[in-house]
Amino acid sequence: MSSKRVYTLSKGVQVRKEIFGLLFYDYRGPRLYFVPSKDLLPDSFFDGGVSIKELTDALPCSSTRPGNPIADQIILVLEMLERKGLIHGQSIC
Amino acid sequence: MANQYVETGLCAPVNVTWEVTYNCNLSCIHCLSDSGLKRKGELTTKESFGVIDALAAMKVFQLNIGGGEPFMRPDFLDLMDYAHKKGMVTCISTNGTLIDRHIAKRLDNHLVYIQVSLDGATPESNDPIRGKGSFDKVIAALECLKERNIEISINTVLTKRSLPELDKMVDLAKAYGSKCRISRFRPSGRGKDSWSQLNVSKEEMLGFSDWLNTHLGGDPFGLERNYA
Repeated sequence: MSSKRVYTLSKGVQVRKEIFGLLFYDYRGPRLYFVPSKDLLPDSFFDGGVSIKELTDALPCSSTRPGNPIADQIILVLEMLERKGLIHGQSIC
Repeated sequence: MANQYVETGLCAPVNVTWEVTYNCNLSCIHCLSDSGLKRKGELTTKESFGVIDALAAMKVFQLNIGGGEPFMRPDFLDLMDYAHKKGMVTCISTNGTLIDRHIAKRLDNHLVYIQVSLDGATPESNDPIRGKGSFDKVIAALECLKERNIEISINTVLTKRSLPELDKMVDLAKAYGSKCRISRFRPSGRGKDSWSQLNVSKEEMLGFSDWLNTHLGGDPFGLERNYA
């Protein structure tokens, strides 16, 4: 996955910040998805204005080098959300 | 798994049910809210926009709209348009009798879900409960909604009258690509007066349980099923 990728919500999907992380709502169902991401993934990330690299660079003591556990976890979560059809990724380079 | 998150508390409700008016053009004999005339103190248009603003600011995802009959409010479609502009999903419970092509066009939005009430699969079974002519009006509404491919659900209250018609209700739902939803009859509002006349007996409830097992593969809690 390119670290210069941005994400937006799919049609009919909403997201909001919760204490545990993010709560996604998909109007198909409707269904809820609980993502225990704490403060690592802001809901505003899905406005599509910030890339994964910019997000992970902004984390304390973070980098996108291979093996960085926080960046790796974020990427895994994003891949899972994309597989479930909640978000769409787009490369910006 | 999700419960552990809910137990910590959410920052806002996931959905909010809002009875936008008590005004109704029908007088269903089992109406749990005893709707009929508009009541004193109902929210003005401006106040209602304010409610939507407040709920949207809290990031409430979904508005469940009921009444009364929501379409009796002259401002109702404007309120729904406003909620949709804020990205909120609206699930509108309606008796369906006021929905025509014009209204269906206004409702043609992927954020809209309509639940139409019917208490029988024919005018002979439905109309004694919901009023003369209501069945035909609902069928006309379903046609308009189907033309627009709007997601719909037909809601039936389980009573002595509707119980023998459930298979026909499922067929009716299939014909309109609709979900079929069966609700409990509640002894509230006018339902208190019609309770002894309409409520199913213990034996009938057991029969309903068997019906559910037959139709839903033994999952009595999966009451909603999409026949689309």
